[in-house]
Amino acid sequence: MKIIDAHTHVQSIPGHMWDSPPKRLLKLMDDAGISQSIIMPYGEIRPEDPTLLYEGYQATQDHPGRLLAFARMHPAGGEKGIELFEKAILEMGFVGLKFHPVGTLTHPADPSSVDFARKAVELDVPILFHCGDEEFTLPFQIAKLLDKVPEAKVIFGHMGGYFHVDDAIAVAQTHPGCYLETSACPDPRVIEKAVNAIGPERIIFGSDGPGCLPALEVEKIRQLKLGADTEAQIFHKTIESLIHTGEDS
Amino acid sequence: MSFPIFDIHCLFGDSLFEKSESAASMQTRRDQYPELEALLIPAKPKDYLYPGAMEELRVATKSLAATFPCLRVDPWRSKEAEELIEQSREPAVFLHPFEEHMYPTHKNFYSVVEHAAKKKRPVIIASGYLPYSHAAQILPLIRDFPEHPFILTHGAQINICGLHITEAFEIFESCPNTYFETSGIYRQDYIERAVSELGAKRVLFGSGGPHYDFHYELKRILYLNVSDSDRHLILYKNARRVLGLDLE
Repeated sequence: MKIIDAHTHVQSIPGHMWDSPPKRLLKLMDDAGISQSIIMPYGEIRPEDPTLLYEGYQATQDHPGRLLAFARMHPAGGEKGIELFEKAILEMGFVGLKFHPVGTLTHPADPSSVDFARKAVELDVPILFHCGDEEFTLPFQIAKLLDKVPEAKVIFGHMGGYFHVDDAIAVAQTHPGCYLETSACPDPRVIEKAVNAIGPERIIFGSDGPGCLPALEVEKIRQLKLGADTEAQIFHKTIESLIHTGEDS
Repeated sequence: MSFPIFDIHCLFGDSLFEKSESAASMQTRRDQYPELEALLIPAKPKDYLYPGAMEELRVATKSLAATFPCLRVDPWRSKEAEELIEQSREPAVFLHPFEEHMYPTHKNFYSVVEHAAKKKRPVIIASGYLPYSHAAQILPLIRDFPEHPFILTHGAQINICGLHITEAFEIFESCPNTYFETSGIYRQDYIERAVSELGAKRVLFGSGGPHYDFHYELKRILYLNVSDSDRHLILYKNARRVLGLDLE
């Protein structure tokens, strides 16, 4: 079955446990039977230093058809940051925006985040948020962005983490622009709960690899025995409905 | 599947928090994994009282093959806790700072650990739960009992963006009296680092059930990039050694 991994990381950090060159991820993709992955760095991109944007771009160019990319922007980048984000989408082939409020210390509904979200809507790309248990990443906090920009397509990465999955499901039930992404949340049973609550059309497979093992994250879905149609929806169809993968789906 | 497994972290009995493992669910699991053994820890009981929960657990483990009761106490009821430890024959003592709302630096917590140390019972600490059991909050206690074994659940961290990993690992690196329990750890490379840098003898399989899914937690270990002999240590032998069960 075709599998697209909507949440992975590529960033060179030599000597560090989190060092994630493309080859590390590609090996794990092969092991897990994943055909395409969406990459993003661990750090935020600001207009005054776009190094990480170009590192991601180079990875997608070196591995066409296998790696796509989200631009992980710092909301404080302002107008120049939004221009850089627009360039990433229109000229460099990026397919979405990533926000990690733990790294940016910026509330999801801060005016600076809202400006980026409105640009993402204009460009017709989704926004992946780190959504876990930390301040500024709670599902009901991210919901405030959806309240301000209801036409946005916002993917809740980790779907609430360890302690906030029920909140993420509750937000998804009231916000049609909310999508839940499965990476790293430790209990497979909560994914089944989410499928039952909102349907697989808004559930997206992600691994958060290479730190999280993609093969094990795939197994987390398969263990649920949801049936081939539901698995296909989660493994590739939902994310294909939000981005341009460069392939006919 | 038939291979030896020892689950060192399984919460059992009617729980205030609704999720429970029962004798029936444990029996079903043992039917699936015939060589499964488990240390059963009382879930926080609906009446908040551990002596009754311990009595029920002792009865249950007598009828459930290959299960062992773990003593759980409430450090806020320090006299009761100390008496339970004195009278206990269980192989370990479990403390959950978050569920008891007590910091590990509290004098009552120290007192419980002192009594466990006198009885030579390893202490299992539910670790990584803010605001009570972050690795930095546990470290002073561990350092004050350098000869006593501590098993820290979740690799001493629960955080889905890896913020706690550095400080959590510092405990294991600096305190050789600690053991690394694996439940709910979302990063495989963190567990593999523990095996590589601490040695497989200090890594123990726990399911963290019923809050975590036993089958998936087991897969975390089966998918580890480690040798078969290290996997056997992690899945089975270490728990029996640390709990002193091989001496029986």
